[in-house]
Amino acid sequence: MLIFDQVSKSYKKGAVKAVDDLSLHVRPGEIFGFLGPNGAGKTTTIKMAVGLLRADAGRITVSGFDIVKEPLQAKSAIGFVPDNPDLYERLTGLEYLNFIADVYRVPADLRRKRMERLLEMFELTSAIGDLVQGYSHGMQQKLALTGAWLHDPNVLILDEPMVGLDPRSAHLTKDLMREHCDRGKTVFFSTHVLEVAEKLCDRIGIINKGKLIACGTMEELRTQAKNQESLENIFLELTE
Amino acid sequence: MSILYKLIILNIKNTFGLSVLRDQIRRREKVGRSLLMVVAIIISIASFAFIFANFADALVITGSQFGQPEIVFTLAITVVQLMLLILGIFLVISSFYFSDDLSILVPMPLKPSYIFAGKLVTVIISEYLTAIFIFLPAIISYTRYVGANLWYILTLIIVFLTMPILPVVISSLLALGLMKVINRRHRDLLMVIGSILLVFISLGFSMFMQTQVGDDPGALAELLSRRYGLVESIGQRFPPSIWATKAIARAGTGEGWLHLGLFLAVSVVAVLVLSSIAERLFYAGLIGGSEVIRKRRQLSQSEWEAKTQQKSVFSALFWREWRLLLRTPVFALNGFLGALIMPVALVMPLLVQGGDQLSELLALVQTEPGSTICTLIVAAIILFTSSVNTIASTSVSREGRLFYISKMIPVHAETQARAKLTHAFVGIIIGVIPISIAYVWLVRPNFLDFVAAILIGLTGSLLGMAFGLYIDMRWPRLHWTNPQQAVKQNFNAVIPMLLEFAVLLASGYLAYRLIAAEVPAYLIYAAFLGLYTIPGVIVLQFTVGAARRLYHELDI
Ligand SMILES: Nc1ncnc2c1ncn2[C@@H]1O[C@H](COP(=O)(O)OP(=O)(O)OP(=O)(O)O)[C@@H](O)[C@H]1O
Ligand SMILES: [Mg+2]
Repeated sequence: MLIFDQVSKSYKKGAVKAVDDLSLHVRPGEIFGFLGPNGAGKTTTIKMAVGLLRADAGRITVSGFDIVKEPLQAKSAIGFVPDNPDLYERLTGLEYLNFIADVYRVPADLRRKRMERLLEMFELTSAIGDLVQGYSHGMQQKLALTGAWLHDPNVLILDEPMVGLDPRSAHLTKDLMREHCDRGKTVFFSTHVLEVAEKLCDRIGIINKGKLIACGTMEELRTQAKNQESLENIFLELTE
Repeated sequence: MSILYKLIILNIKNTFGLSVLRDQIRRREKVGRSLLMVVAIIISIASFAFIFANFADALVITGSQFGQPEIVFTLAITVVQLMLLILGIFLVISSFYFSDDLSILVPMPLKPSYIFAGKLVTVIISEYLTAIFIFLPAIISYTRYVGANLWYILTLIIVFLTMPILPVVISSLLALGLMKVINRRHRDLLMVIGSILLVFISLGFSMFMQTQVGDDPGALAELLSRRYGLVESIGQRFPPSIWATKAIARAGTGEGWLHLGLFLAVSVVAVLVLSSIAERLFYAGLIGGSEVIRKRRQLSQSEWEAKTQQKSVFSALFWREWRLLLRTPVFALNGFLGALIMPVALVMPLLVQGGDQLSELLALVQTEPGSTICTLIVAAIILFTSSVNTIASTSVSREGRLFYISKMIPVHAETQARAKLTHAFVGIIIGVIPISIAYVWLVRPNFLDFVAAILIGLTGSLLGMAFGLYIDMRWPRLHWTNPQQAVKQNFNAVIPMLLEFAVLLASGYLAYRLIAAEVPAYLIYAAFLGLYTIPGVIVLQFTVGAARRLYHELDI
């Protein structure tokens, strides 16, 4: 579903190597958690996967489409929420969602059904006619999440989706992610909340200084690190 | 004091982008573009300086025939102070209330008056940069004819440095008062009202100058020949410019010192008044500055259905452009101010002068070659109006950090470019409508002339728009914190404008030659249509190429 094949990316004309020869295969029906210290290269990896950055080397395929060679098909298959959900402040929430639905070509009845459900869940229904400018941080995050789910993408790519969400909303988001994967689709997300990663993810990848240093199920990770029980200890040991 | 100093330096760096510039020079990035900018700046400065210098020379020569060469200073100072006053209101409001660094500065343990002073200094520096254009030619012309001595130079420097203070204080007081009084929710509205006011003030001023001076150089001489004629007529409205004039002209004498003292005293008093009021008013107006109106009500079923209709990708993009443009006051104003001012500015003086002249003129444009000239002039007006329109040339820059949305959506680069061009084109059409109405109403052209004027104007505009969009797609300015930076402090907006001015000049020359050679009107029209359309189509190809690169390849 989402394949990174020997992907590298550096900034400042090679001075900063942000992602270094990363290979990763996220399968259908899988929630994949992407962990790593600050500055490890998570956001860079994600931006390459959604077409905001171009990899210096390697190939990324989303739902079978190369993000560089067939950008439109690949992008159609992606639902993306960036680390800082900046949305058009001068549109109303509804105008934003409808814009997203239009450009992803979601038919009217489907978009209504999905919007109604998600907005109800996230308790945004009453605010939907207001300008996004007046939303709280968490409300903006929830609006961005709603937008990403709207076209029922094959691959959801989320950069720290839980940041700023209250416990209930975070819980709902996790449920939504689970449900998405149960229907055979893929979720790829970065997070700093190890507890979430541990409980929610089918597999986990840990990246440090641009290199993937560990990847697998919780069980597999446990065997990689010496006698570590919790993900926190594994993480601390591996990224030392 | 050292905190104040640091704040001032910080503000200057921030406002004029010095750190970014230094970084770019060091990294040798975008050198070509910087070079283009420097050339553009030099061309525009040189052309303005040339115009002002000529005017200043004429004033000094005419003035000295009546023993008043210093008239040039009265006029220069009055014009400068008036300009700074108007400019000041905008600079003050935008840098005091609409700049994003405030949310960082305000929580810091800094005295409000320091923050205020730091911002004020950058406003004043911007004003010096504006003032020098007008003041320098006046100095050069006057010095050439009258000569200079030490006292004169010293006085000049003092006057120049003091000059912006009075207008800045007045505009700050106006701005502070407005921000205090106006309902905080309607800040955006304030920008709109302010700008419309600006239009009327500048129109009023130009009409005042027109009635005082007129187009005819004889009238200027006549006015000057009445002793102190112009000095008084302006000075009555604005005495400090007379004091400054006398201080310069009589520098070194008792009369000179007296007037310099008066000028300085007024400025000092102004600063004292401002500093006593500013501290209280500034924060009072600042707090709660970003509150927005909330409806917080349930949409009815029919509203909900109407607002969730499916549109085509193109119209979704098109309407997004519109909404964002119209709902961000700085963008809307920048997009449409030119379109509003131009027709009014053109028609009003004609109507004011009125009577015989007007009907004479109108009779002239009913027959050849008057009608052809008139058609081409209308086309030129359309072209000029659209050249000052920055909707296309800031189209990508305006998206700023939200550009990621345009890049993430699965939409063809061609479709994105088409939506942006169509949007900009509709913006231009909106500007053309009042011009066409004025044109038909005043001139009553025949059908061919009318169609030719509009078509030539529009194809020329299309060329400029395509070029503007090309520039903005090649070098978008996406990292801004204040919307002003996207449209006003953006060279992408200036470069196409200069190009279009050049096209206008060249077209004017060509038109002159063609008409002088008695080429039939329809051939002239066809020539211009071809001349604009062909490069237009070529530039469009480049724009589409740039769009592909921007949406599918470029890193953001
Ligand atoms: N625009 C940029 N220009 C230059 N260097 C950058 C840029 N963006 C990121 N980097 C560098 O690339 C590296 C990886 O950054 P990235 O944002 O991918 O980290 P991250 O894993 O998302 O970190 P965090 O957990 O803090 O979000 C860092 O060293 C960072 O300094
Ligand atoms: Mg990150």
